[in-house]
Amino acid sequence: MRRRSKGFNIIDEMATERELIELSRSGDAEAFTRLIARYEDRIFRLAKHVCVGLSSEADDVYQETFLTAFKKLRSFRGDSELGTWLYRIASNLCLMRRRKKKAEPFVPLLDRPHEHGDAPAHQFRDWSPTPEEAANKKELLGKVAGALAKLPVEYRLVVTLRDIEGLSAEETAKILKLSVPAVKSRLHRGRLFLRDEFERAFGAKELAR
Amino acid sequence: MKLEDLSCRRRVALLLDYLDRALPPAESRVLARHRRSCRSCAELLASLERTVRVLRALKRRSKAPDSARKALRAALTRASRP
Repeated sequence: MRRRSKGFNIIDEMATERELIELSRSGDAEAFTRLIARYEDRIFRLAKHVCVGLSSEADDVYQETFLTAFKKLRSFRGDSELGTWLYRIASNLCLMRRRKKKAEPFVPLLDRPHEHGDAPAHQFRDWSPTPEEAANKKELLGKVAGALAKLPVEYRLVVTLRDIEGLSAEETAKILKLSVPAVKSRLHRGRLFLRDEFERAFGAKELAR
Repeated sequence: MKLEDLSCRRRVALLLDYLDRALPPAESRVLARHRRSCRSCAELLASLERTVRVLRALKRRSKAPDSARKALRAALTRASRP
């Protein structure tokens, strides 16, 4: 019974979303505001973490994403989910702004053969936020943001969508128009890069061996 | 499946899928067994799990602030005017 009512809720939600899309297409800003309510925090987080260190940029990307969507809703054919489409608009805006502002070329992170589990070339260390660092959330967030800012933007997008937003590799590939193996490769390299940065930021301690 | 017989690239793909719990149960069990016996892979996986944990914590901590929501609504109202 419970399952049945949950299923009906999803159908109701989908019907409501379709109706809201139709109303929004005719220029109804109120309907559009209701339509995007469940996506606002997600798009804000993406903008904040990808435009890390440039808070006004993040606010601009957040606003521009929804304004662009409002104006282009007629071209949204519904082949992909609305969330995927919004993430794609936001990702493109982030990329364009970062490249324009910082003239960031795409610098691929190098392959690290020793990270394939063959040889322990990386000196593994025990790092994690200390209780004091965990208590001081502002400082902790600052350190994580600092590490993210050093990661090339193409990797930052993949890491944000996969590890912060919790999307699947397939969803991330659709949003960024990449292949699934390319998403996995960027994610792995991005995580290795951030792991090394976190080690430094959180004051690595040698593992007791 | 024996991990030792796989290429480096295939092995890293398996480790990544294991970390993201995207492996079929049989392969996941092989990786879990391997992790217990291979210190290099165990340390690599543990360090990546810590990294992902720190990143996941960010999701709970950020919501669009009211000021940004208000500015968006005002911009949408302006955009909807003919």
